[in-house]
Amino acid sequence: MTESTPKPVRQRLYAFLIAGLGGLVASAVSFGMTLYDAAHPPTVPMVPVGQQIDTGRWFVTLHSARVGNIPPTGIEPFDPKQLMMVDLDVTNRSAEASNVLDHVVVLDDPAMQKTWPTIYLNRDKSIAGFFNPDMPERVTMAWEWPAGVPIPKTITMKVGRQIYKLRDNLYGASNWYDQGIAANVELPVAEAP
Amino acid sequence: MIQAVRLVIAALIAAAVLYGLQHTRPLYSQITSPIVVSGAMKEKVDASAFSLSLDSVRVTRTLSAETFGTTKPYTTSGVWVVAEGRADAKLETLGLTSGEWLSRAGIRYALTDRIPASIDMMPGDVIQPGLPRRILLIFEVPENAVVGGSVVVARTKLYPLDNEVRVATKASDQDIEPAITIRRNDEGPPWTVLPQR
Repeated sequence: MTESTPKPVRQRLYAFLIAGLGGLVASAVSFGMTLYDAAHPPTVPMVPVGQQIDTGRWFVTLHSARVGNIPPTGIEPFDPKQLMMVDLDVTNRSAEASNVLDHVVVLDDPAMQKTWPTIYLNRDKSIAGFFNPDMPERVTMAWEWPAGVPIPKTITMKVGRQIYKLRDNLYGASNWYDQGIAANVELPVAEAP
Repeated sequence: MIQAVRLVIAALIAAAVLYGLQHTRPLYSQITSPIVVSGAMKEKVDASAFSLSLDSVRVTRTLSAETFGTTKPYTTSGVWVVAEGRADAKLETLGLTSGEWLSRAGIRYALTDRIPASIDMMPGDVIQPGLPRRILLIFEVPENAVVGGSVVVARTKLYPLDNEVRVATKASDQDIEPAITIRRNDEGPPWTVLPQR
């Protein structure tokens, strides 16, 4: 049996120093990258209305925006609210059905920070469910526009980009992830009857 | 000096081995994928908790379904696939909440959620042991996903290591019917797929 002898103090000191310096360098690099990113925001292309945008997981084409009280179902609700409705075409390009468009098409307005849209399928005039791969659909997204906030002449839509990771950083699982903004689209707002 | 070279070489070899392992081992999504039980049409396919048999798969361009007393036609940019069969629970009462059409290219199309009347025809149905139930699955797929497609049924998508039944259908894109109606019945079987054949 060999007895474990305590390592010399100097060796332990070196080990602590190297580990500490490594940590310091890592945080400095990370901080520097954050600063650099903040100083150089990526330029997002402004895409004209009606042009198809490739977001990675979806093809999105924005067509028009309008404000009205009657949702795309055509049925006047019991308690009508002002709705900002945006018409668009979507095609799911992934290998699986998906209904997550919340991060893909975002109404970029300070009044819309915490409101989620309802998505309507124009084919059925009802709330949309899953979008199957490779089946283009015309949809209308409707955001509730707060009362008392003036309606702008134009709205800016942010179209998000997604990337597919075969192995994610945590589990090595395959999935789609949001990655920045693919394009901005400015839509004139029409007044619907 | 030699020691430093050795250290560098060891680090390089370790990095190469790790890189090789990362790229040759199965993906996490493969390790945790459902256990597949395959079968053919008109054949009882046995999963551990239930068994499933499909006896007909029909393809149509327009599907009409009775919803809230009115028959409404449902259009699609592709085609509708209507599959009928039977499900048996084995040891406990269960629901079959996940149904998918798996195309030959490996693309998965979800059970349609556009037809409210079809909700209780499989996903909302409860199957009790000893009381087999008829099931109806409706899919909306592009025309090129029909040939060579399979129907995939599982209890839920939330238990990835559970069984998944895959039935290879003999669906053909040469035999697309112009219209199919799903009629709800007051007595007898809960629905009838029309025209009958």
